[in-house]
Amino acid sequence: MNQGADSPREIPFDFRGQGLEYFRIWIVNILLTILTLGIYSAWAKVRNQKYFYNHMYLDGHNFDYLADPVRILIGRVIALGVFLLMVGVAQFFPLWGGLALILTMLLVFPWIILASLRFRNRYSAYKNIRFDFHGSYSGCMVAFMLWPALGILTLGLLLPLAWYKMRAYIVENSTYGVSAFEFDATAGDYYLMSLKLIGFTLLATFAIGGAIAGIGLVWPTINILAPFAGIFIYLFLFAYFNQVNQNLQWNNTGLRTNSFASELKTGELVSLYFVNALLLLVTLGLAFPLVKVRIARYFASRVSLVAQENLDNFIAGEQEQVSAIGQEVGDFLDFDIGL
Amino acid sequence: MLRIDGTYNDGQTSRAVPAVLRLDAAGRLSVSPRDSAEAAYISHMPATAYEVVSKLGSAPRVITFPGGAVFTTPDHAGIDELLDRTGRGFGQRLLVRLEASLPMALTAALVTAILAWVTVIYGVPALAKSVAFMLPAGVERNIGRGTLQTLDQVYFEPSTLDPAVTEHLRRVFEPVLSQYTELEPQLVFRQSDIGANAFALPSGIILFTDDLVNIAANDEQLLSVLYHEIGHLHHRHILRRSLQGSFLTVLAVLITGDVSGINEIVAVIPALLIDASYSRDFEREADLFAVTEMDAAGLDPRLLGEMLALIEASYEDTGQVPLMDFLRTHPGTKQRLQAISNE
Repeated sequence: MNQGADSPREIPFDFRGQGLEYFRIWIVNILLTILTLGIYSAWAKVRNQKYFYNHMYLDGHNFDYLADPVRILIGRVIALGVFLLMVGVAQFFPLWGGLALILTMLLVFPWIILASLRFRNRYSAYKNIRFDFHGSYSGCMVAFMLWPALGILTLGLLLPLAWYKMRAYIVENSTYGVSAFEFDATAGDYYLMSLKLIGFTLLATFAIGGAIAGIGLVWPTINILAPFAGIFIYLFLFAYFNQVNQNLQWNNTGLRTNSFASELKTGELVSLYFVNALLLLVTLGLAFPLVKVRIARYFASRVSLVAQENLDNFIAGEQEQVSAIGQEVGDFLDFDIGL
Repeated sequence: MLRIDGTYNDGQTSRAVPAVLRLDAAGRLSVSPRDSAEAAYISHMPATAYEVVSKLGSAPRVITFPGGAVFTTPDHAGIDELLDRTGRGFGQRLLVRLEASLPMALTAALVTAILAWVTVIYGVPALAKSVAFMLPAGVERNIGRGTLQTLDQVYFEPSTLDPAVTEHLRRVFEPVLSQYTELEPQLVFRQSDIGANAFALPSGIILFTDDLVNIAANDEQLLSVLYHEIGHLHHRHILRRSLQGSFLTVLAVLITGDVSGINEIVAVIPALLIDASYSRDFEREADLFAVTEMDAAGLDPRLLGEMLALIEASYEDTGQVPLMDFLRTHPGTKQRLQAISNE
């Protein structure tokens, strides 16, 4: 029954959600949200999240999302209040209010990140074992404020290092049960990635931009294509960035003796995003559920777990409840913290 | 007796054991390992002690027990039967039925689409308008403080117009500006690569580019632009636009419950389109203001049309690409000329 340590198994993630099935759930939850004047939105959020966790499989078992909608509702009410307060302060007192707001945000920002990571991990489970997050506020302050500030002060020279520190903070403080995730990437990897990104940006901009400008000299009509070329370059760079970044992250993440393998491809991401954008445009946004399913399915198809051991022996950690306020404030301020 | 095959997981380790769930005639539930004579994990538990998690899509069904153990099974029929026999789950069955029904989904889509349309096209602008006019006038001017300095650094150079020309224009504009002192309008001229254009900044500053002054055939045409920009100030368009943006964000968060989705490149496009549509409405409103006020001041409203045509022509000369209508922040000049002549 036990797999030997010398026979690693490559277990692919498998997303079994269906666009139409999710569409029905999504749209009914939206209608209920509207009919209840937004109150149901907390339940809707849990159902939407849960749909993606429940239909994501690894080794024949699915993930689960266990957040309590009531906590999310309370978090949302507070977050909405904070958001409106901030908008109000920023609009009424752009100068002093803005300054006070920035100072407060500097102190609160790490807490929001920490609370979001904690909330998300604690209410995520696989095989009835929960994830958790053990990062400290000071650690978060250092990783998400101090390092980026140093990066900016050194005119970007330390930014790749800051990027690495943030990622390491998130991964290394995450646990599955009592087992901590490990992050094997080095700062050097992030410097290399940054160089690649800069190189690609310059190449894409000058190659395509130059080509259009050149042809434009003899055949001005091609200038009509310029905005579209701009969109395409942006799409391409966005896809390239995601590919490099996600692959680096996952390929260097480990859990005990197990590791991950991620093989996203830039070309596939470009066509994924392009088709998604078209779908959304043509359906005026109604294809949103389908788009989300397509993204989940693609990422699942390209990421797998390289297991050295059988996955039955992870042990549950202590459980305590946490509030959703930080996560909901973070949501309103549009932070996107992907694992 | 009801029998359901699945797996049991005690919540202490990640081990999932093949297990069998049984419901006896008295409605009590037991779970025991499938292929062994070991003692039952759960025996004769009353229906009030465990929880059947609501069905979601085609995901396996889950029953949770006190202490954190779970029983998981793909046997949907079995679980539905269990719910029936224990007389539970009406609420969740209702939700699941709503979520699974195609007619319900289509109705929901239709109602949502109509409500979203009405909210975005009428609701958000109306709310922003009433909020904008409830706020004291100083709010908008506060937002605009510093805007000109920023723009000067990025887009504008000092005007290269002959001081005699600008002095002359200031004298011509003065009687009009003095009619709207409550808006604190203030006239500035700037040189810029962006071509013939004029802006109203929230602080009350009305900015004319040198190119605009140069292509105008007469002072009255420039006056028509002045009226248009005063229209933007009068209707508090900049404050309303930023309020509308905030309201849309809040709305999107509440409805889709997903901000990270909005972050994606794909969702940015509809937001830009909506904003461009709002902006076009404001341009029409400012045109209408200009036409009405010019009429009242005894000026020919067609002057604005002439000026728009000149601006349009100046862009064609420089080879700039005309945008498709739905991408523009301004209505097409033809439509504006049409609308003006209808007044």
